[in-house]
Amino acid sequence: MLASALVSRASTLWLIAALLLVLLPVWKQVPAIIILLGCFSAGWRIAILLGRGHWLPLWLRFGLILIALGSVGLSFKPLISLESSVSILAAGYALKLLEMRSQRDALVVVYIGYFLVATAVLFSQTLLQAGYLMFCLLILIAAQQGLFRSSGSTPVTSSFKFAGALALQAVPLTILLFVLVPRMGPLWSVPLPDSSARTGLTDAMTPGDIARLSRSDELVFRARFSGDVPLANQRYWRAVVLDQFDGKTWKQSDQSFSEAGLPRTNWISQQPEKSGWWVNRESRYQYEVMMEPTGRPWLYTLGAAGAVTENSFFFRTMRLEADQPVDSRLLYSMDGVVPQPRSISMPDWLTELNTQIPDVGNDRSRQYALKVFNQSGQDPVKMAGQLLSFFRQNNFYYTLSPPLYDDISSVDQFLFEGQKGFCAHYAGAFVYLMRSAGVPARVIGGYQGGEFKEDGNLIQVRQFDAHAWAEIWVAGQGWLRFDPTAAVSPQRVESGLEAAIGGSETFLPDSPLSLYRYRELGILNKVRLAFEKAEYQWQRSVVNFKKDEQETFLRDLLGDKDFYWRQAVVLTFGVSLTLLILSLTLLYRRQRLSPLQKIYSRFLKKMARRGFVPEVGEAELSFARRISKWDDSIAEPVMAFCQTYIKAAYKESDIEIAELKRLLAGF
Amino acid sequence: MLKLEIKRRYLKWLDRRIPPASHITLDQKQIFILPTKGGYIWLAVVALIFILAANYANSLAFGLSFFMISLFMLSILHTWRNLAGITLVSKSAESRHAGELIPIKLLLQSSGRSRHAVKLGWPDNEQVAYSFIKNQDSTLLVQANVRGWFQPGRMRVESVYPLGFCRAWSWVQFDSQALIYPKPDFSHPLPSSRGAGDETGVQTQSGQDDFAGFRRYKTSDLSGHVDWKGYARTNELNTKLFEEPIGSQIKLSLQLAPGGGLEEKLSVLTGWCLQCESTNKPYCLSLPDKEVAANIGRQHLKECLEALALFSYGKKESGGTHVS
Repeated sequence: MLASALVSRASTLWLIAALLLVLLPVWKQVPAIIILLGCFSAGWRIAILLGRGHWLPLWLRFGLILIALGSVGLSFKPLISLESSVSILAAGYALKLLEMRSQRDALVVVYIGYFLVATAVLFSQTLLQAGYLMFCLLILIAAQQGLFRSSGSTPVTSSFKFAGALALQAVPLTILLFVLVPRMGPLWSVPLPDSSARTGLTDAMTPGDIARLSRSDELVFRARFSGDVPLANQRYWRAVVLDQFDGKTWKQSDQSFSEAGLPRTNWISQQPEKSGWWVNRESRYQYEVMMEPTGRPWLYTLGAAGAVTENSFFFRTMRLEADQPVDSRLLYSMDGVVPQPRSISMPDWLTELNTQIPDVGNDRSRQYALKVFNQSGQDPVKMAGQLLSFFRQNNFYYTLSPPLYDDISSVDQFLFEGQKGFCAHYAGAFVYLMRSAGVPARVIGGYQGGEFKEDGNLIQVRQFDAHAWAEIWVAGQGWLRFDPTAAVSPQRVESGLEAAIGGSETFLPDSPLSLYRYRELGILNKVRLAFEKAEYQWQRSVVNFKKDEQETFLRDLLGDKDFYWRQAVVLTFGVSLTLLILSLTLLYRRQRLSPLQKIYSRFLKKMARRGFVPEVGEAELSFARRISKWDDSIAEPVMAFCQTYIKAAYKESDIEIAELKRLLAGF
Repeated sequence: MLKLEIKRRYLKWLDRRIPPASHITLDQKQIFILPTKGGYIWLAVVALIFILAANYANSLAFGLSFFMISLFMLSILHTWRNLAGITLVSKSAESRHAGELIPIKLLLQSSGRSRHAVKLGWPDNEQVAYSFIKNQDSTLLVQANVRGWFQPGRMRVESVYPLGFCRAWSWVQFDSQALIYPKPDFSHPLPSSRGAGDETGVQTQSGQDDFAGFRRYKTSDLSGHVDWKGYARTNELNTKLFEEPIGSQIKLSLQLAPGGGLEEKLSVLTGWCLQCESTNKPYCLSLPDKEVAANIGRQHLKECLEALALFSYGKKESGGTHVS
């Protein structure tokens, strides 16, 4: 019976809309052919609805299935991944919609739709995405409800209204279950969303890479401070340490160590603090970082890291790495310690590593470095100062679109010819010069600055805050930070990228609609700030409400004693209570009666007490006549009442209602 | 055997729970509700999304699965609510012959709530779905198979609205007033008017000679009795009256009727009654427990058919209640 029923036009329309809507959030993950297939299927169904199309023959549908499978097979390597599953689901939705005729087909389409919504959530859990998907769910509910209402002529909007009402009724129960149902841990390992295509820092810096990042206003992380907040020029967020240079690209050294015959423990530590590498002191800043997924393991710390956080490794380059790539949003807190500026000593192998430069190329720079080194009395700090004045005094120019420098002598070209560069050029050239003079130096990649939000006491860092700076080793003092970019463009460090490039270049050229661009406009900026605040709260309290957070929260709420029992009892009781309230409001909501109807129902009650009940379909007057026949004592008032009632029913007025009340009191 | 026994007990229980009545209001006593196949698949989808959420430690996917399970629980209430409070009133049913479709008139009262896609019907018969806000009239055609008081068995009222996860249903039975006549059998020729060796048949040999007078023609009169000569003379249509008009009457009795069993015989008698009526031959009916004197006309036919319909009715089992 379910199978034979046809799908109404309204329902088909809802399902077409739902197809296009649920494809939107996953369009980046799905091959273009499948998106085209979805659009084709939607268009074709509309044509059929308009009476201009016909049903596709079996061979053609079969061909479309092959095309869809083929495109999935070709697009994904390895084949089994989250993206390929989503593609199959999307293709299934589109193709099933194309041949959907019966109610059962439509139900399959609806269920696939819910699945697609579930997978879309795996790629993004932002507030916007959640709101959008909620809208998709409403459309799906409307489509589903449309399937089961018999008349196709009812207005399309009523299904949507119903879906809204149903969703609202489901909200309390959903929240209750969300908070109280114990979360399971993963049952088996699953392919995670592919984040390799994300923009973000890499551990190989070719000048120009960071300039690419500067075109994006994507969120990188938020750091919430529990006390003091560092000043803008102190916000150096360390992520990677690049200490290998091949003449073109700066890289991070990791694996080369084991090859050099050194124990790995000289490089990586899982201890909270590795004694002997350097001395730590109490940190002034306590903060919690919520970082967006990067697909890479690096964690961000304010300045050099001095200790590990949960599930992370500590590297001797004073940076942190998570024990696996960060594929989903990660929250960690840094409230421990930072390295003492005066560090202990540096082993020879480390010195060697940090002074390595290619044997050939950049002759002019090498000579210049040696000259400056000797001029400054072979003092690394003085030499660094000289180099910074060199940048400051010459005609160096900070730009997002520097010219391309040739491979072998790129540093020479940049320093003595082009003199136009982005932070990576300045940091790279600075470290190259220091190393040429034999001073251990390295490039640090990360982010500098970030937008301070006073109400949350948090700093929000976006991709365009990406930055590179330098560190040099000074015996007795340890690693010291130098930022050559600051010498060329102090605004970059004080007020951020937009101020640094001034009006000469377009800020965020690829995102003309980015709200960040329009922060000067008062209202828009307020909207942006409010939205970002809501988003942060959403991420922190809802999206991040995972297994451990749930347990901590509930233990606080319910108490530690017999925790699981309490949880079970509260859950059962809460769900039952919610359902009870819902059923009472749904099932026994009293009808709203007009004053006239109220009076008549009072009359009926009085009559029922005397044993008179109107028969089905019996009119008021004939009921009254029947009563009069049976019981003479009330015959007259009952007839009078009924006649007045009928009069009042046609022209409801206060006078008659008052009269009715008087009459009713008479018997 | 066991299955039959279970069914018998179920029907008995159902009779106690929802006794036959002329108007029935559906409430918690009458409405049953269980998930449909679609509902079970939905629960499976929810379970899959829950596992997905667990494996990806994804809060929003957890949220989605909880939302979907909440929709399921709500839909139980909504589906139930769609039937609850409906009053079904059986208005009337016409008498027909067994084997024909009986139109049964029902009135559905929504009692203040709008109802969607409420499906009515007897098993193996026409099913109709209604959406209504106040009252809804309905005429259902039901096949009647057995003569006697019409017993269509229990009617199913069901609804899967709004989301198709659950099916709420009820089996209601109306105490009906329709009488089902036996199925007519026209395959046998009428017995001759002189009777086949029957005593009364022999005695009526000269009955036609006992002319008694005239009276004004009535439409139900036999054309053979019309005084055509007088009509030609006076232009007045009169019917000749006889002292005992048994001369052309046909006596129908159970013993006369051919056929193997009682039901076949009754069918033949029914066919004969109808034939006599259509050919305007007066007839009388004699059954072991009832005699209907010779006459003709609508009222007479009804009397005969009722006698045939109810002959030894109630001694054998009547039309089975069909509930599944």
